[in-house]
Amino acid sequence: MTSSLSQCDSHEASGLANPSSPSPPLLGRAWCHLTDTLWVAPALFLVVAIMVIPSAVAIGHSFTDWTPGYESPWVGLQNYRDLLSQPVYHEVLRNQAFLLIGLPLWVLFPLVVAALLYERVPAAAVFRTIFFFPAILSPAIIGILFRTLLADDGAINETVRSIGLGFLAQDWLVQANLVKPTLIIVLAWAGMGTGVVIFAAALSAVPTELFDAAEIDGASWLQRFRYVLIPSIAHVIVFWAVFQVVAVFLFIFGWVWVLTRGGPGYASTTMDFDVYQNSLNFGFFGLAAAESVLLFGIVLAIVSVGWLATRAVRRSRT
Amino acid sequence: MSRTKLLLGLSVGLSAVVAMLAGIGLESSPARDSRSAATPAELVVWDWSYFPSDDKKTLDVLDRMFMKANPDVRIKHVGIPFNTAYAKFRTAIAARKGPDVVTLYPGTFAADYRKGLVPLNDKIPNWMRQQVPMLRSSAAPDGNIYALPLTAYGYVWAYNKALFRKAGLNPNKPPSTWPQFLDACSKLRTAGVEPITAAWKDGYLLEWFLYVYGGQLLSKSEAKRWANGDLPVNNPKFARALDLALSLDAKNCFQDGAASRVVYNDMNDDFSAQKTAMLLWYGGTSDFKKWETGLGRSNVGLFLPPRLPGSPYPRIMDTGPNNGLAITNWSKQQDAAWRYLAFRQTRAAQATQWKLSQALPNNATVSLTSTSPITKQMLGFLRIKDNYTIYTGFPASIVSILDQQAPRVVSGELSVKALLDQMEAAMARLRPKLKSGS
Repeated sequence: MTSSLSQCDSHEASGLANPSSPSPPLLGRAWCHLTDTLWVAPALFLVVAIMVIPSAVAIGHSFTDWTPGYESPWVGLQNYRDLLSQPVYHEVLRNQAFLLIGLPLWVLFPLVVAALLYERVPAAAVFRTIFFFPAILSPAIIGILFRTLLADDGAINETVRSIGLGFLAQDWLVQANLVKPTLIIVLAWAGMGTGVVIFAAALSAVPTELFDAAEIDGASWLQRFRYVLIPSIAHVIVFWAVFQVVAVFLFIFGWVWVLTRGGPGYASTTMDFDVYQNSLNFGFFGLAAAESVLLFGIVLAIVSVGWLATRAVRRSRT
Repeated sequence: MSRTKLLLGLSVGLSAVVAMLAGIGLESSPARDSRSAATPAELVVWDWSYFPSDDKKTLDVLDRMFMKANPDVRIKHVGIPFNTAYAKFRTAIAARKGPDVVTLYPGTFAADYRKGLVPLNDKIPNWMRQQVPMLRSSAAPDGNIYALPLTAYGYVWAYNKALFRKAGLNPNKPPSTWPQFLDACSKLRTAGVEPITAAWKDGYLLEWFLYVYGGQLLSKSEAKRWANGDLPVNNPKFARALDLALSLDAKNCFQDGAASRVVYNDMNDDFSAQKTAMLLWYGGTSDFKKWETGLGRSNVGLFLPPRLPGSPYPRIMDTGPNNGLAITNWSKQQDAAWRYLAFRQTRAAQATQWKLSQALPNNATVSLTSTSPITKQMLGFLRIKDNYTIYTGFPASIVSILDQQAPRVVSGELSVKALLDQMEAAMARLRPKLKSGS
């Protein structure tokens, strides 16, 4: 029995295997494309309805004095001018840039743990599961936990006080100079499990002979880490780094909301949190739309750079 | 098989689209309107005080009173946490869907949400205008009243007489001028007493200082300009009010660790637990009982905010409408909603609220009696003729900026000028709309 699926597949396969082989009939290819498209139609519909259309609408609204549901007069680039001239927005951008300092930590921390689990630890799967545990908790839960731990009279301060190191006790989430480093560390803890699992999965695809050969050649653990492990999974490291950067721009709202509410002042306000503040707290929806567009542009640029970096890594490996 | 695959794909795609369209259709179905005449109309009220720890019991009693008199209406009171209430209401306005009645501070604050509200001026009957004097301070710069005041409040200083005595201060003669106030702070600190209860993390306390002392410094004509939206936020009087508040910090008047504390309910708890000597507080008299229990009835006293140098008022208390009720313009129960708002203004409803929650009524015909010395004091303060408030002149969004930046202003990272300039920049965007009501 010959199914249409196998026909479509065979057309594709023949095309791939031998570009010079005769193409399937035009009607047959169109048929295949039509059926394939219909299979992805529901997902495509959702993406267009939930992502593409609202994004396009937001771009349009960024040029208006937007009042959702009501008349919104055209203001041209006024929202962008207002936004870029606001000292608060400059501070938000600086905050965002500061958080990127955490990138080496967010990448190296899980990478080193994954490497240790790969080579040295018995029952590594158990540890991977334990490390992954924070990833299954919502930022709200972990945030409340850390808010309690990091409070002035929280467990961390009380512990250092009880061992005579009271000078280390700080208002971790209240002092402007400490709040961003604290956020970086909390994010490192929360994201470590996912990183460990991703790096462990990547390492499992690396031939063990590479490590064995390096060990026989007398390479230390650090040398194997630097010269074997990192090059072997470089593309995954780049992917994880790009994902972390994107996450700092797009997925940090929950943490900021629960831990600091963007404060003190705007010391820990990130772009996504500021979009929320400008729209739902302050009612400046046009300004928030403009900020969303700028945020989208920044993320798009980062993803593009990440994509180019991944491609470069792949090419260097081949 | 190819046809099967096509049909399967088609059916999956179409099913998803049909299901979504069906969902959209259900949303806009007129189920709500097809109610039979016998079924009471449901009035949804969003209220940030409808929680067991707050006024839920009293509000339930009031709702029952209203429903007994209006059997064609059923009240559905919904508690909305204060810290997310405004954001939630903005999304409701955008969707034109949500409650029929919502709690909002009257005046310019409510006008910030005017797109979703019904102007109430034309509905207000004569009896209400005569019996509820705070209606006068409930108008927005466009002249509309978007929220009716529910109860009254006054900002006063409460103090612990025993701690005053410990510091060598006369417990029966609290400070009445700014120099006396600073002197009291200094003596309390010297005696090892934390002078002023404070919490800066959520910013509300700095907001209160601005209302209390900004209002004290504005002349009557400036106050009128402020209420009409004609006085900039970064005016010198407001700057001076905040500078004076911060000067208290410089003189070590505020309790230690205030930066990481929140107004609700750290401040009230600390004062009731006798950790601090003085507390700036607002509201009705419901908190008085807590203080009297914590400190002892004879050990707690009140005094008016000390008079600032340059204040044109010999005695004044920042007094205004405490919370209010507004009707949403998408509500299909406009008549029932108005009846509910009007009911809450009546002497019967306000007297009930006073009796059950000790919430100060703004209906002037309610007779107020109390055996509590500080409540009697408060009732006396409320009769001061110069009392007014500037808080009803602040839009919600501008207040949010102040609350957000307050911790940094107190820590000295941000100047008062920079804060007020930022608030004015935001106000400049809003002012034309607030004045025109557009």
